[in-house]
Amino acid sequence: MSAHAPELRRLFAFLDGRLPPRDQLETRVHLEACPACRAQLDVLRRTRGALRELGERMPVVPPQNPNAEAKLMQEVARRGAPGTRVQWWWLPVTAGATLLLALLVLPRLRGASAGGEPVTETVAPGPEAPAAEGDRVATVVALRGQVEDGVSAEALHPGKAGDDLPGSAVIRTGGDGEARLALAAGGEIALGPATTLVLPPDAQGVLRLDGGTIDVHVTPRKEGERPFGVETAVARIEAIGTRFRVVHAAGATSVDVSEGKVRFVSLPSDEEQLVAAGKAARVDGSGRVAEIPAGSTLVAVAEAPAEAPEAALTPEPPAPAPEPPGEAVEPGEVEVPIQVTRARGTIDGARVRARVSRQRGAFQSCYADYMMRVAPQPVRVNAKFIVLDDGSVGSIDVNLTVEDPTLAQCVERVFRAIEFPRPQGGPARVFYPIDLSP
Amino acid sequence: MAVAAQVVWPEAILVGSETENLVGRCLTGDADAFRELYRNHRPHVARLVQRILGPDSEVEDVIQEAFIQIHRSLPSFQGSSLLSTWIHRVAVNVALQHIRRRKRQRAGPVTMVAEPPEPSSGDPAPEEDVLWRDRMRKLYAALDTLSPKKRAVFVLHEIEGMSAEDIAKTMHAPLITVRTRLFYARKALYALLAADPSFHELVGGGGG
Repeated sequence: MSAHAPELRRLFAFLDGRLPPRDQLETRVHLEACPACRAQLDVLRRTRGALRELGERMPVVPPQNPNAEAKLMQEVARRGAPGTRVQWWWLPVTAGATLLLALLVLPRLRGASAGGEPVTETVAPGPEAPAAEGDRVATVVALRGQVEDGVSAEALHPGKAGDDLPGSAVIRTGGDGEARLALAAGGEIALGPATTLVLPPDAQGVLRLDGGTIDVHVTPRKEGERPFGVETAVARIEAIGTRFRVVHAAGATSVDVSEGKVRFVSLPSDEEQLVAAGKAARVDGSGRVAEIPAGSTLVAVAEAPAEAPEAALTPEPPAPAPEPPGEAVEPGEVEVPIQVTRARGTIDGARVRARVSRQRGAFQSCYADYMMRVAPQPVRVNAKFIVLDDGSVGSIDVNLTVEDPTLAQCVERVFRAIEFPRPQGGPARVFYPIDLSP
Repeated sequence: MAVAAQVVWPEAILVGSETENLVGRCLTGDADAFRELYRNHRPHVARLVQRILGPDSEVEDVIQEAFIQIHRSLPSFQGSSLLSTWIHRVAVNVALQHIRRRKRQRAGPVTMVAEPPEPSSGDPAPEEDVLWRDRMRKLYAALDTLSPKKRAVFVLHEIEGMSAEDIAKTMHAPLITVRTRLFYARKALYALLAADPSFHELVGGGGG
């Protein structure tokens, strides 16, 4: 009988060869000394083998009903061209119109450049090399007491304010520690004492709370963006612009919402519940979601200032980031994500243009909507954004020559959906003007 | 009234990739282009749909439905992923919708033996095939106890052999979510299968 049978999760990870080398070795050593664990692993392995074999016995390509294609084509013909709304755009792309469009484009390009603004601005690597490899997902803004961070749980070192944390990095606070993170995707997280948080592989991913307490303040996500998410061993919390606290301790997860709403999903049972401001809920290993009194999660961090942990911290902001030059951010409805990214990389301008130009149809669709709503008048879009290490868009600032937040948001969404080429030497800044005209 | 509009770029880049041209042609209502898209992608779409649904007499209908949905949604294809990834995503979603619909239609709890018998194929199958078909049916009956999303992740990983990373791309879900779904699906399914006598010999008899 083994007193320390590796948990199932670890056995699966072992089976998949997904454990870090040290854990893989550790598990193998443990298995050698534990016949019961070996037997369990054996069952898992055989089951997996049986499933793979079942898969192999299915036809590689399922046979096709002889008239399936004809039926489909008939159905499609009946429906007409897909997306009639943007259909008109594709027509001019064909040969003849290309020349016309090119002629229209060139003078405007000169106009743009004559305005003194470069088409694509790249920022050369600064004097300080990027501290972390991979994608920067968050930055440590402030900390107190014992705090460690690193690229993985095996590589933790004492943390300091200004640490850039890449994808999948781990940050851990000790019994007296606290830390505050600014997320590249917008938002802040305060870690209470004795907390371990694993960052997502990319800025848009889901965080994992292995234990402890986090206070989350997320900036509103735009339509079409993934909601902010935190996962624990038993629950997933999704939020779209909100403040809430998550506590994971003793196998149970609680969420306490102070602003907005979160979706609280029990992972064992798939049960889900919307938790609104002023409410709290809890899920444990049984998978059952239960409402709990709001504020009861505060007990878990009794020694931490209950109100705003940030007030107790001495913020040490990272070295001043070279802000995008130009206009101040407009204080409109659009909340601007916290700028935590320092642009110091370079990016291939031609490839940026190629990626953006693929989205013509989408920009056109934004503009067509604007013309319907407002007026068919020309609009100049000045988009400034940061391309992060993974090719996604970090902070973005869309300025228009007309005041129309809907159009600005639509344009921003299109930019955000683009997968850019990965910049060299860290995030890169891009300035991208577009002229829209009737 | 459709207003003619133009987007003027800093530079005119109008030569698209082959995929882009194919999508563009489909969007103009070019039937040949859509036929080409169908022929290129049907094999993989059919494979995914069949593996997710299992022995289901409606596999062919769901494949058709997937392509109708692909046709309808083409304008929203933004090129931020590969066309094939996007097509597979639509196909997986259509298959999951089918499962949800089927679940709603089936009154009462789903039990492991509730699966309807497989439609008989022409020639009599060798005994071993019968055995495997029986296992297949049991597997999919067990899969019916999972939520559709867990089922999809499980099937794509355990039967189709896709990596969690590829599943995340296809399903447009965070990697950690895929891993968690996979864990809970495996935990539930492996236990069910280990309890089933016809899997028993494969899964390792004695049971420790």
